[in-house]
Amino acid sequence: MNRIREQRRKMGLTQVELSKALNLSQGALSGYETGRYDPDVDTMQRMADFFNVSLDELFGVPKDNSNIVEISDVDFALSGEIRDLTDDEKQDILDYVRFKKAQKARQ
Amino acid sequence: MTLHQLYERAYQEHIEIDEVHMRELKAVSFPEGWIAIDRRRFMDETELKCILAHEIGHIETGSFYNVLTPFEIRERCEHKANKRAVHILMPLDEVRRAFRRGYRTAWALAEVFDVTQEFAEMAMDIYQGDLIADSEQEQLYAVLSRVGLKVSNGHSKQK
Repeated sequence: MNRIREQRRKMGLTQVELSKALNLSQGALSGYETGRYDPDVDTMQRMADFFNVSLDELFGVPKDNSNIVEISDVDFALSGEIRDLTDDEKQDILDYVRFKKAQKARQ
Repeated sequence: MTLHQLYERAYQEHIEIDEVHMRELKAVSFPEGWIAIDRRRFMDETELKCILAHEIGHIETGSFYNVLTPFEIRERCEHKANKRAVHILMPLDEVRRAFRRGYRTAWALAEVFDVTQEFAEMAMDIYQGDLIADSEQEQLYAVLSRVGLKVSNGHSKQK
């Protein structure tokens, strides 16, 4: 969900006021705020400029923190000789843990 | 124990085994009861069985570490997992029986238990004390019976 409504309220504006300022119909603005329609790129940019925020801040998908896994936080065990892990091995561990966490989240 | 029975044991213990493609790792286990294996990296089912038993050993004994854990603690975890793996695939009483039947080298035991030679060597290492005690006892009984003393020997009766 975008953060148009959040930004509008932060500025203390009503939908009517903002739609006038951005030269949009109120219906269109309402549709954008609820996510029913997506504004075109030009409108997105005008909104971001108006609120003085980046496009990412206004329309970016928030990062899913549940999927961030740091290798130093992961307990594991391997077989074979004891030595430091290579970068590829660390990546193998992280990939698998992320896969399992995503799998559990779906269940 | 066959590979199938090992999978069965894991299933009973709610251990989840996933066959995945990995960049470099052969097998890895986690305290959550997860094991990832890349079957492409195993020579045969015998090797897979030994590694899988080792990973199950980690989970059953709860011996895990992370990238920051000192080597000596990791070593202890590996030893615990190896010991458990040996108990799973080569229980002491069965090894004793095989020993009495004359299978006394690592490669002979490897064949009897369908494990890798490396694994059988590990088992001999772990059971060393018990097996030496057995053979000393056997020698003692042999000497005693030669001088005409009868002893009740629970072990040597089981043929």
